[in-house]
Amino acid sequence: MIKILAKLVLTLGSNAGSAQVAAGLASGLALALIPPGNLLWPLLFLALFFTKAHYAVMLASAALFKPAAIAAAPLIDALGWAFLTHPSLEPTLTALYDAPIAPLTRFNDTLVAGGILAAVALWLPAFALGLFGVRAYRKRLAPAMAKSPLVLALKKLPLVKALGSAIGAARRVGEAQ
Amino acid sequence: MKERETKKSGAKPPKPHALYRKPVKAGRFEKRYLKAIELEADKKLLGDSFELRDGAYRLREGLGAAELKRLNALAPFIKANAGFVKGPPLVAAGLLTIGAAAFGAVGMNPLLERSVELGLEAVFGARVELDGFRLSPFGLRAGADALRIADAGAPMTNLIEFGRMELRLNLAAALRGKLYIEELSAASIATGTPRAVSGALPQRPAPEPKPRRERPEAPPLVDFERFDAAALLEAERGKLAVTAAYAEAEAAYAAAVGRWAGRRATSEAAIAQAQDAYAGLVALDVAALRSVDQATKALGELRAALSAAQGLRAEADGLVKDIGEDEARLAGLLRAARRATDEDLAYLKAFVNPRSGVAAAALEPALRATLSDAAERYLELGAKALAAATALATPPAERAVEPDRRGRVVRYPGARYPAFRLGLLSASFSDGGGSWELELRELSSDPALVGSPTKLSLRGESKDGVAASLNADAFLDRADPRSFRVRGELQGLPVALEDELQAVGLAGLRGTALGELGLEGDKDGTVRGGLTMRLDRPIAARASGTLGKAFADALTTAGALTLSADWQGGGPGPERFAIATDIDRLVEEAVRRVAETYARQAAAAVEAELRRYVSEDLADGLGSQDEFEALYAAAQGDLAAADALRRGLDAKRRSVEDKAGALAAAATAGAQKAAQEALRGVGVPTIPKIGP
Repeated sequence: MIKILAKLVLTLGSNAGSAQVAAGLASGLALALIPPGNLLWPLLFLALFFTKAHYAVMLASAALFKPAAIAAAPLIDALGWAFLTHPSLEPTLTALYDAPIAPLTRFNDTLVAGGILAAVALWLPAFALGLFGVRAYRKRLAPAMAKSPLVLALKKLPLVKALGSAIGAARRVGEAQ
Repeated sequence: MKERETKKSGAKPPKPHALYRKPVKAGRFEKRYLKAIELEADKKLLGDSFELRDGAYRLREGLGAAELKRLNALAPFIKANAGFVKGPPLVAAGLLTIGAAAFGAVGMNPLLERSVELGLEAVFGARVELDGFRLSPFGLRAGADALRIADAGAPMTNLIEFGRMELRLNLAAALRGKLYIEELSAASIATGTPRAVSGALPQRPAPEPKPRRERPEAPPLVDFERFDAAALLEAERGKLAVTAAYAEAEAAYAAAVGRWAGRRATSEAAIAQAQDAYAGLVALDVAALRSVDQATKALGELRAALSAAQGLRAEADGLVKDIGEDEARLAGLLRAARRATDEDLAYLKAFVNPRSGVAAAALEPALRATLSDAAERYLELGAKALAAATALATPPAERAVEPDRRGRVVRYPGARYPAFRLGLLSASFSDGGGSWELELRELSSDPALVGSPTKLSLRGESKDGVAASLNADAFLDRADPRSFRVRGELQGLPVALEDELQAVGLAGLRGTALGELGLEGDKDGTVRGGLTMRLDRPIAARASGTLGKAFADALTTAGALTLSADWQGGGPGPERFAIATDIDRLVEEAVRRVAETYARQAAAAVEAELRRYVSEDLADGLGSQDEFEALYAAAQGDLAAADALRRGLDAKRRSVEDKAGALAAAATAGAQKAAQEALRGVGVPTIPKIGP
């Protein structure tokens, strides 16, 4: 756990592409919003595997947002229901239901449909927010934090020390590669 | 310089990364190298470590070990931050595909085999064994060596067993996540085969066994040559109305005796006590009364006694009236019992009248039982198949329209494929020398979508020449009020009845049957069936009794026996079973001559026996009636006694009143005389006149 956390901290302070980190964050959110158990989720997961979205950040983001997605299930259900039962969309959705592959995605489940809609709507804002956050962290927050007396004091705590040594180990591994 | 740097860092400078060894064009260096590094310090280090010469960036010479080490650490980021697609995962995906293919070849079939078993176990509620399952996903074909589905109701028996099977799947449906088996062929099909191990599923209770219907008892058929009226009466005693009527009357009389005996005893005791208590008053000598005081005292006692006697009479009178009302009701019961005697006589005489249809009545239960035994096994099998198909066609409970945090499935109309559809199951197989063909069409989880009922067709011929064909339609669509329709034909079926015909005096009957069967069922549970059968070349064995022998002769002469049956049951209306045969006609013709002679004697014997039974066994057994009548008479006696006591006391009261009046008059006259004597010689003062 500490190593994973260390790796994430290291990622934030490394030269890893900020767009990649932001894409990992937004994609993790999408994976958290769309319930598994249908063809869409593994396909999305696999597709993201081939992109340069930061994988570790994506997994961490999915794990982080999953409880929130579960808590927001009634909202996602309502969104999916509104979409799936909208009269103007019925012909399209009926045709989609009869089309090959599409039924395997279980798009006619309100949580899946609502999750897809929420993921599509939130991906770009999450990406932008992530990009801004990573850049701000690297440019301002990280240097300021390094000199902050609070951080200096925290560094003396055993847990933070363990974290620091984990980060150091991760950095050395990274540099050795 | 180099030596100085080396000394300064204290280590040998590392070899520059491959990315830095060759000159990099200026545009590429800025786009791919510098832009890929995001930390300002690292970006500055990278920029400072290269120099532009001849339009290309080259690594500066004389860089220190620390700088080179840091530059080498940046190289992976330069590579990683370029482009959008990763190369290694693509290789990993390729490896994964190969791994999945290897799994498909080795491990997929056992997993799918178990999945199919579990799915079928959920439908049939019993163990399912699928052997040698193999799926060819690219060819969309599958096969298995055997499939055995256990019978949940009889776990040591297979409901159905298929031999080697091959099936073809529909690609378009598979791409939509549906299972559409276009064709499934089975090398053999067998039902009711024994199992080595129990087919019961653990933690799943066995279904409740269907209670067996009580078979109706056949009425006795009379053998005129050895007719015994007492035996007939004994056999039918339990069904006679007169027995029940007399039993009811006896019970009613006993209840009435129990109801009134206590009250009557109380009344009797009270009257006896009053008679004792008032005996002195009734016997009072009025002449002996000498004074008014004596008369007045006696009169007071008599009035009190009379009041008590009137109360006793009223109670005795009420009791007599109440018992009298019961007596009228009980007499009605007795009259009904006597009427029942006449009805029972007609009933018993019907047994000795060959034109009364008694032969058919005797045979009907046996024929019905025989037909039921033959048909029940197949009907039960059909019912189980229908139940399984209905369970398959029952959609999963749809979630409510209300918001649900588990999500809701929205179903769209006009979907092309049901979740499961079996287009055709065909099997041509030999069974013990016979050849059979079976076809099952359009079994699906959404019959409304298929638009056609599930059809089962079975035709073939057994090795002993029995030809059969069966066409069944199951209407699984919930909107269709019909449930199923079956048409069957049978030819050359050998029939061998043994114990079933003992009631008519036949130890056996053999022949060859042909016939048609129709069966229809609705979703409300109503089932209608019709059957016509002809038994050709009937041969009766060891006929006994008048009718048995006559029947055997008639069968041989007629050469055939026809039977038709109609049945309706299971629905909201009453169950109806009607059977029509030419048995009665055959029997009647055969026994007419003997019946003319024997039937009159038999009828007279039956009447005499019934009359004897009623008078000796039933009427004499009415002990409570005598007891009741004695009680009624005693109550009337009590009433008379109470009335007599009242009348005696009343008469005495009147005598004493007269005597008291006479004594009073005498006393008054004596007093007047004494007064006159005392006043004689006494002057009476005059009153002066006052006024003008």
